[in-house]
Amino acid sequence: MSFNISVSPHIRLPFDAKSIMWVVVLALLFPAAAGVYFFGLPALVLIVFTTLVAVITEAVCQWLAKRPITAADGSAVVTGLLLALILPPTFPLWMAAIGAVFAIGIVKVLFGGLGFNIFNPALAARAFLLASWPVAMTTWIRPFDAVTTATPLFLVNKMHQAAPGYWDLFIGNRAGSLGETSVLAILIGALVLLLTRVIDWPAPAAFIGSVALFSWLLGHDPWFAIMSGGLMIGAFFMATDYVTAPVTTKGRFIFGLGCGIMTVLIRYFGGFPEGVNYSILFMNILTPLIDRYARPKLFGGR
Amino acid sequence: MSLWKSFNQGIIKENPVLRLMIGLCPVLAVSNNAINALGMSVAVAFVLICSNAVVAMIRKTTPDEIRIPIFIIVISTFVTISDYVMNAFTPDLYAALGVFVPLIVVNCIILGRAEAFAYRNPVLNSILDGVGMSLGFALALISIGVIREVLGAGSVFGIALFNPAVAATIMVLPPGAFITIGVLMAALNKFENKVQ
Amino acid sequence: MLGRNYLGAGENVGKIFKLGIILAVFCVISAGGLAIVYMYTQPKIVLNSQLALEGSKKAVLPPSGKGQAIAVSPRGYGGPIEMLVGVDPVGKVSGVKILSQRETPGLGANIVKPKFLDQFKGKSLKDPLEPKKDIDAITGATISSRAVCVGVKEALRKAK
Repeated sequence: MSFNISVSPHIRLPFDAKSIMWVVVLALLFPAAAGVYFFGLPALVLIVFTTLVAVITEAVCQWLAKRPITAADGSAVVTGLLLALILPPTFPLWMAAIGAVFAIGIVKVLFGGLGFNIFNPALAARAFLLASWPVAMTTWIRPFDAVTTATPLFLVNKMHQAAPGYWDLFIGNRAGSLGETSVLAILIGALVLLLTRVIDWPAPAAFIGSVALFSWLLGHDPWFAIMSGGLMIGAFFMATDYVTAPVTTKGRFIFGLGCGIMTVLIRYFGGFPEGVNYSILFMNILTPLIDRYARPKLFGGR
Repeated sequence: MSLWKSFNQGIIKENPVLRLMIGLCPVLAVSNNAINALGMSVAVAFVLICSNAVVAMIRKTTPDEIRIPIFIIVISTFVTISDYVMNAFTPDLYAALGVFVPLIVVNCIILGRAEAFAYRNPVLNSILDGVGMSLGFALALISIGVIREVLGAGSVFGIALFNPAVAATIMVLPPGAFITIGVLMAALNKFENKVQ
Repeated sequence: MLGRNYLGAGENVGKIFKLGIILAVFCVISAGGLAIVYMYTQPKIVLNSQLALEGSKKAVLPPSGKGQAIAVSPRGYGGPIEMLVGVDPVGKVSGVKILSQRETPGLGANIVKPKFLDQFKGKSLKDPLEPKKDIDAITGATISSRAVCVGVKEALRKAK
């Protein structure tokens, strides 16, 4: 039996850290299933393989550091699964393995393990892979027939071509990362997390809302802006991370707003077609600062 | 201080880059391949040994109050000499090292050794300290350069080892420098702890 | 050491003067030394840069040596791409050389490769000179590839 000692107020949730992780895994299975449906068997292989490598890496690192092995607590599963979902569907397995090792070994374990990492491990690994193998990381395929093509964001914002229809964007019938394409599947997963109160609304709402608002102000189609790229999966599954995002409602709102502004800046004024990845990583750095600014006032304090 | 110790301490025990953590700016910037690392090491060694020697020579006649300006004059003289010589005889290397040759003048290793060692020790010890520190600097810089070039470009000293398309480009970009230097520092600390 | 009689009272004027003289002596010695090194290295440095420029010109011009070598610097992904374009007397590209660039290593930096640059040989203003039309862009580096195309076009226009 273990006793947890902490100062008040105590927030009570129906779950402990371990079962929260498995709820997140459950929610992630919806976009994962959509990815397998659209991109076929290679997508399934990539998901299973990346997740396995992430879990094994965590176990090996903890064994090397002579610490208790907690690789089965679900957090490594979440990282591996998330990483696979933000990779191109045909990404080479050995590169994905290096990405998973980097995510767990460098970004998570070296910074102290679960709860101490500064950056979202999956996103940091994606940035690492993008800088390492830019060609493989930007080779996209069309759903079903696997013909190489560009993503809608790239075509519209950098090549000034017509956007695909809203329905295709919504169900996920477009080129993109494995699990980012289907807005529908991500929303179902997000609904699971919101209903079980594993995540709350401020960060995703501020993130998606600000991208829509600023896109509209800059003369772009706001519906296209929020349904393309990795915005949905980033807003619901990464900007809500317990470890790397702020803890208070106000802080989470600021976090989401910052992510939205950075995303818009990168998409319309930067060299990359998509900016969700870097915007969340950038805001991860600011999280301690936001937490300090948005700290709730002590009762009776000024 | 014994001559051997003057020479020896800079190589591993007080390695300027991996232990003292000084002079990191050029280390991070020019360690993207082994040849640049080697060129920078030679330039730093020349400036460090010469400035250590001259500072030790003039240390009895230099007034305390203006010792820092005098160190800077001595160092910048040797930096400018190496700048001219490299530009004249190794133009390719000069182009690759870019602004970092003139910046040796503000490299903390050089001013640091002048102030902490050469100003207080005889000429021979100071030269040996310069040689040892240069070797330590070269050891660290070239190790980082080789690791980054192999992993990031698939070659070493410009000789191709494997298909560069397979190499992790991030290693020759700035993040690769930070990752490599961090891992090397950790490894050296682990090794030193074991020895003790 | 530090703090001993710095710029205290009037008695220090003489001392400041003395220190100034010592510093000046060091400067003179340093300047003299540098002048000698400069004398020996400067001709070589000038020669090097001339040789480099002539070598680049020779590389882009047709074997006859006739035509113009035009320097342009289109905006690439990581800043201006300094390039030299050789144009022969009938207005066709005879060669392209990248003098300096800051494109992404492993990606845009591949524009320096002959496999990419040789495509421009023989092109004139009549050609579209665009990636995916008559030029094979470097995989994943559309912006860098397009910048080189823009530079070649600009040089051809200047050559007229």
